[in-house]
Amino acid sequence: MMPKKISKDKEDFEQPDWLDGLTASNPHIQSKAFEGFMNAWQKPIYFYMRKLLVNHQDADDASQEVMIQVLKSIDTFQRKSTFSTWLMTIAYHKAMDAMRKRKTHAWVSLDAANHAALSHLNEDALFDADEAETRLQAAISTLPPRQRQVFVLRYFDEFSFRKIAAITGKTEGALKASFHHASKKIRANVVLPA
Amino acid sequence: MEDMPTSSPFNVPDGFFDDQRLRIRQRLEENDKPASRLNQPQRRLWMRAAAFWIGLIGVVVSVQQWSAHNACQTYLCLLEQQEPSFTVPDDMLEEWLDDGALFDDILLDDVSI
Repeated sequence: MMPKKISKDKEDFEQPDWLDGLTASNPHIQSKAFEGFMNAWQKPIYFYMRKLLVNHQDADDASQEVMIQVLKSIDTFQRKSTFSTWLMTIAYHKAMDAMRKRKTHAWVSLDAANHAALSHLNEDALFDADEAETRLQAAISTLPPRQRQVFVLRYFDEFSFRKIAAITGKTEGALKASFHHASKKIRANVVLPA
Repeated sequence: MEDMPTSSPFNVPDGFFDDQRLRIRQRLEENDKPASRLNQPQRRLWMRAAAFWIGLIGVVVSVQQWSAHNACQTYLCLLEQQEPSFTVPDDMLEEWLDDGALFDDILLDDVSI
């Protein structure tokens, strides 16, 4: 059960053809570029947020904020990286803010947090999965923010640690450690009780 | 339900993506309106106030440093007055907290990578 990937590393060195149109003064060209941008990125960004935040409304708000910021600050994109890395950096920080805002209290045990996440998912009308998938998503949603991001980018979107490092500004070593911690916690939570 | 990535367990309400696209377009158009420029004098006033307070803080800090300099004029004197610091840098602490590693690994000393 692998959701759509955000991008593949082999595409990293190409800039999208609608990119120049976003800064064009001609409204017709700009509008076409807007559609091109939205067609390419609206769903990937929404589902990236949804995997991290789980709740539809939160993912809607966060993904909207990402796209607004990207379009408003497109002038500041200096093409020193690929567009996808630049966009994912914005998405990473927006997601971090959203997750920190509703961070669970430190004194809630991991089991209790996982149990709460499971019942949330089971009650969510917009979530449809079998038991294993539900347990996986619940386990992901109880991870600390950065581990959650690294796990989603690496496991679902299959980003290389190098690319994740470019997005997050962290070292590859730190990211590997985060992924290791995340995988360990997820394994512990996903294993079905005997 | 809207079409979604292959095998994703996450669904969205019908017409959600069209609706979101419309909202984004509307917000961008609102931003482009010249009405927002009407706030510029207020913004300038706010920036002047901020500059004033930053300047004032700068003066206070400078005066304090100057006083400290008067009180202790040799390097050895400053060194003797310095308290040992056991604080953890904020970014390192943040990294541990983000990883959930502070309680799991660092305080319990259970690093097993």
